[in-house]
Amino acid sequence: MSTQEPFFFGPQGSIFGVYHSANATPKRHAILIAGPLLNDNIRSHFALRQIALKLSATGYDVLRFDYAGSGNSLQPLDTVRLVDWVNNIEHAAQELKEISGARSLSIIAVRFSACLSVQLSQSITLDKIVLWDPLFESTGWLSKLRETQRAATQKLGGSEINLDREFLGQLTNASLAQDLAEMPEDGTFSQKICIVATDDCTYASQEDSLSITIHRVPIRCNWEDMNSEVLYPHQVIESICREFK
Amino acid sequence: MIQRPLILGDKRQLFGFLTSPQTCSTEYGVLILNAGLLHHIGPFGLHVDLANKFATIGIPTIRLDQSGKGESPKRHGFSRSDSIIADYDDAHEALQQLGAKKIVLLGLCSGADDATLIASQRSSVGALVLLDGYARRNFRYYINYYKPRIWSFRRWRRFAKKLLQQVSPPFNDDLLSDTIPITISLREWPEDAEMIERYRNLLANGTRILSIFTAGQNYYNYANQLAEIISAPEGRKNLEEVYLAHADHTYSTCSNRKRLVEYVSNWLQNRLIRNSDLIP
Repeated sequence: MSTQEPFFFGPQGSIFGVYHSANATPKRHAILIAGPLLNDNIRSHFALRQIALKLSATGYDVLRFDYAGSGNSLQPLDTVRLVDWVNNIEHAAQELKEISGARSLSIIAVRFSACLSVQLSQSITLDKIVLWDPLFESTGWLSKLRETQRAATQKLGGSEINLDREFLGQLTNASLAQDLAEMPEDGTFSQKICIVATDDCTYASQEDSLSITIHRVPIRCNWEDMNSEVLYPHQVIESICREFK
Repeated sequence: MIQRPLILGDKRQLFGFLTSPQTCSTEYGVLILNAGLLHHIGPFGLHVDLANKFATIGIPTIRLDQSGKGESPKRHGFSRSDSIIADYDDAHEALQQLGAKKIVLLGLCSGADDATLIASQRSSVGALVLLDGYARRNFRYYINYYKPRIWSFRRWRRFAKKLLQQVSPPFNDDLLSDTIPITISLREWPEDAEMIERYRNLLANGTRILSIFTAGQNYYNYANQLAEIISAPEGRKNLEEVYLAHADHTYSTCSNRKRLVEYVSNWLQNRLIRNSDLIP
């Protein structure tokens, strides 16, 4: 039976993760789940845990983790830089390889985590890359964050909001926004990827690419939104898990 | 500050996250319940902000994932209310081991409802912090609600339009099944008479209640509405009610969350720890 173990790892033991060990017939294949950032991470927790439980029940070792500045990870968000998030994924991958002893490693990355995991794919061999509504560049994401926050400010009225630092209701620092604005846009995966795309996202320009498979799911996740609706998109969960059958 | 995950219960099935000062300086421990289906982080990280703040004033906090939520699996064979009580008993044991003699339950939305249920059955609960907890519309609520609307031409025009048109709201099966609003169907209030009796008994027994309402619900719109509804002659001084008219239900802005955290922290310090009747 698979077990679920919460723990801290990484530099100064500051990154929080939950490790799902494989069931009685392990495949010796580990899967890292890199969730979305900021408020979307909270909304998608339920769904990502379901994915982890299903995959570990079929023999995979799985690790979910909280990025710096989010969840239970210890570094405060207002000190976080983009390089911290990039390093978090690398530390998580390394930790998963060590604790699982797996021979191969795959990744499931959601939204901006897809962008962050490009560097990971260049430094280690990934067996499978499965992306849920991925973002492939940072400036579009940054614009969406600012637009959402601006709309929320007008709606709520009377609230003091710093539009250079507060994104999706959480206080970052101005350097992080600068990092996002300056992030190079030429990072791409050098291997085949699978995208599970909902109605929030289109990848029309990439649909004919031989190195990308796109599965469409007709629902809306309302990413980068100031709401607290818990995501439970069972069709997305099934599509992602099917990639590992 | 101590920060560590906990696995609670004799079957090791319940997840909690402890935030505690190195040395606890009060007899209180706080237990934060889930807000709807959101996990122990809380909406926009609210529960983390609260727990971290409480640690600075010497109070340990467990942010709990109740059974069937967050990291905790469901308790099979338990009714919903029995599961809520069983979860509390497991978490209470952990807080007792840290030296807490009295428990403060904190909950938002359905978490507030669970908190009052637990408090009505467990005398170890010394205080409640309820965020958008129970209240009901009364006569003055409707006066406050309709007064500005009566004089609004725009609203009359919209009302007339609705009467003249037959508009069916769009029904999206996928939307309903694939996102779960935080407030959906997890709020199961008993009859008003039972809820009011529950509050009266809690207050009469000395349970301190801080009930904070926001503009993000549709049943409360003036300060002291709850006190008027409960109309508890005994223990009235144990109830403090606050209306944060600029905050939304999930405290989605940093400034509103900060304001809430400061208010609750001051209330804990002044009302509970120092046992003062001064308004924080």
